[in-house]
Amino acid sequence: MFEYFELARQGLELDNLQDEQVAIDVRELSLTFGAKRALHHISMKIPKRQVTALIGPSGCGKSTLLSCFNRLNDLIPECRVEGEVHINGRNIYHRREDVALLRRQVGMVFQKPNPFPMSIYENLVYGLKIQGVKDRRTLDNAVEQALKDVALWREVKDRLFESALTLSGGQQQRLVIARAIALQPEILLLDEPTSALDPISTLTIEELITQLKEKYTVLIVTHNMQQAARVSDFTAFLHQGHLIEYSDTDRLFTRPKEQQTEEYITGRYG
Amino acid sequence: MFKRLLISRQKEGLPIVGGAALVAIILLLLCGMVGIMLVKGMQHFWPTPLYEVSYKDELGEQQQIYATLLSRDFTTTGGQKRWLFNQARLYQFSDQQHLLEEEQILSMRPLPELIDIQLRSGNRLFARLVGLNDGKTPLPLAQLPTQLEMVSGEVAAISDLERGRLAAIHQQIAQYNRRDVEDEAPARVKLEQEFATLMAALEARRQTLSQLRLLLVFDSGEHHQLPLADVEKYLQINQQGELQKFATFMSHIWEFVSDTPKRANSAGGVFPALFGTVVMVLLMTVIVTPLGVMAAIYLNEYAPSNSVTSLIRIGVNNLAGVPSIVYGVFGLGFFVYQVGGNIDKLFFSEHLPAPTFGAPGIFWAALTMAMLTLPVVIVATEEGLRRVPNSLRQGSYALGATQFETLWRTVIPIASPGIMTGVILAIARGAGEVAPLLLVGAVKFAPTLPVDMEFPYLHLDRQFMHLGVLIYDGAFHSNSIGHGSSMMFASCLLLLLVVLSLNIIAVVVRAKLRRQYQSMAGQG
Repeated sequence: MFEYFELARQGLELDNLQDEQVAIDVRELSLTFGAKRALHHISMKIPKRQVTALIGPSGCGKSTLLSCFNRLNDLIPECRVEGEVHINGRNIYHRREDVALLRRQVGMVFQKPNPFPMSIYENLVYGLKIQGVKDRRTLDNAVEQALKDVALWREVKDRLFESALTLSGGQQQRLVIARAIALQPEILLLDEPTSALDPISTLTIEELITQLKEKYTVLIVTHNMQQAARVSDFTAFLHQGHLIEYSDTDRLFTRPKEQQTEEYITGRYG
Repeated sequence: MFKRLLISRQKEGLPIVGGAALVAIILLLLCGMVGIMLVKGMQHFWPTPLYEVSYKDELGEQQQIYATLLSRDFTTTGGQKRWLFNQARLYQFSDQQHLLEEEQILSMRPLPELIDIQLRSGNRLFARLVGLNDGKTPLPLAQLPTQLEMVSGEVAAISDLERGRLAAIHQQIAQYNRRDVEDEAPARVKLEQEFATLMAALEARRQTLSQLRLLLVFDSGEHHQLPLADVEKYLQINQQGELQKFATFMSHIWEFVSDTPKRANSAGGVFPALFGTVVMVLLMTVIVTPLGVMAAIYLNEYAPSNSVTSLIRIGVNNLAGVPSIVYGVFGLGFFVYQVGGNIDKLFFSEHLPAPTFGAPGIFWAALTMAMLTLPVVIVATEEGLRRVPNSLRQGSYALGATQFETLWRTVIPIASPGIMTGVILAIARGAGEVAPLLLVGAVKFAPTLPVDMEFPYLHLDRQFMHLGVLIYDGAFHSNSIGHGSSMMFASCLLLLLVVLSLNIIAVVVRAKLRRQYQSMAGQG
């Protein structure tokens, strides 16, 4: 088993990354839900301002890994984490880590759009208000900037105070992304952001993701291998809680090193 | 094939028909209940004609009474038709009811000059009005309304004077007495002179007033002169047209909701009870809502999901089934005697042994009712919290909110319609409950309201009147023959209306909240 990992790691060019190029440094991360082990000794370095995709069959632990990066797993009572995850040079699983602060730096978007049942404006300033920002102009500017970043500004600028639930699914998902980036995070975690959307909305979101990487480090979990190939620069393949292969996307999809990866991407199983 | 289909149809059809029938029966019962309250309650307000009834008594002698007809078919065990009459006479504390067999009755005449008089003392009397005079000369009867208005004004003016200037002088003189001011001191003499002149003037005014009299003939044949100053109001029902009757009907309703009870809660209005009910329910809501919501939030959001929590949950559910009188006894034993007694010892020791909070009062009643309705609020709130989709919680956490911030800004607002449902149910239960109230603060008659213009405006230690208690009391009023007081039905109707309107307010608030936080079920 250990050799297996050694082999996988040797293949990574990503190992040569400079420290300042690394957004997230995962070291020997294991995670258990009660008696069940969901992640096995995962180590990987996720580069800054790039799109990294996590792929793998259902239940492989890719979403679990994603929510390790903003410690959303903390909400599950029987979940236990070993190993370290370093963001900005500090271990976020250190016992003195400020989780609320971490989650402001690491935004997350979920599978189903989950806007709060409030106005579009209230949705966007939710995180800022929690931080205690009260200045109207600051809030207005943040709203406008976030909406422009997700190309939603023109569509909703006249209805900012209408309920966010009046938006379409694709618009809602972009709103939720805007809600996350209104906090100016460094990292964006996208957990299957298009799986509940129609093809056109999916396309819009994918275009958005490629734009977002200019400002943010993006991690995306996806079921859709074409999507991973289209939007990501690096791809990690997980299987049953193990990181099987992690390399730049082109190589992973054209010349996979591992047989399991090849079988998965060619659709022979998964 | 077709036959089998038919059979399966029939099998399905039976429960549907049965269910529909049951629903229909329930609806019918509900309509019947409201209908009875409506009819019987409204009867209390609709003016009924006054009759001169002649009948043969058991000895065969002819008797005559002035009475209203309460019921035409008051059938008793013999199967004999009997008519029930209501007679009101001077010097009688309450109305007297007569049960006459049909063949006893010789005649019933609605004489136009029959009059129903309400006295200032609270009594009521039926008589024949034959005249009006000012002590010497008879006045035309047409002047009666204006004369009564004049007299009422005068009576009010006199009592104002008595309570105003006269009382002030009296107090001043009493103060002189305490300070041993000499009898010949000029200030005192002046005051005493003023007092004497005022008294004399008042006496003269009273004399003139008492000259104005109604000439009445009672059903016993006796002539009587009734000072107009004793009359609060009168009703010549037999002279009224339908429109006037309707006006009388409306004024009766207004009197009922705005006046204080008279003659041991069998006449007059129920305003103190209405007021007490609403204040008690509002107090209860104010107490139970935060308690119940906090408990539900703890159970649903903070408590670990283990056997202790589920034990607590089972306990809460079972609390809803505890008989209400048990809560009453608990309230009396714990709140009134223990908590109230200790508050008295600590803060009001100068008044002891007279209790301040150590006696039943509206606060203890509201608190007891809050305990009673707490499970309802907890269960409904938990239901509301459970229906808040987890994705929203996660969304909030992912934006850096703590658990409390997530609860406060997202979960509670979205669960608020559920919370309102709990409050609605609590109000409905709290407004109708009587048994515990009898023990912890509701009384048949309270001289003061729990809220007034005196500091501290809301008097939590006062006893109060309650519509439910009034109804309970009214059911035992039957003077002679087991008919509950008709005010009981009217109070019942009012109680229904109060519960209904409190509910409507809560439902409107809930609908508003729902619109604001559109149903999130689809986002599940």
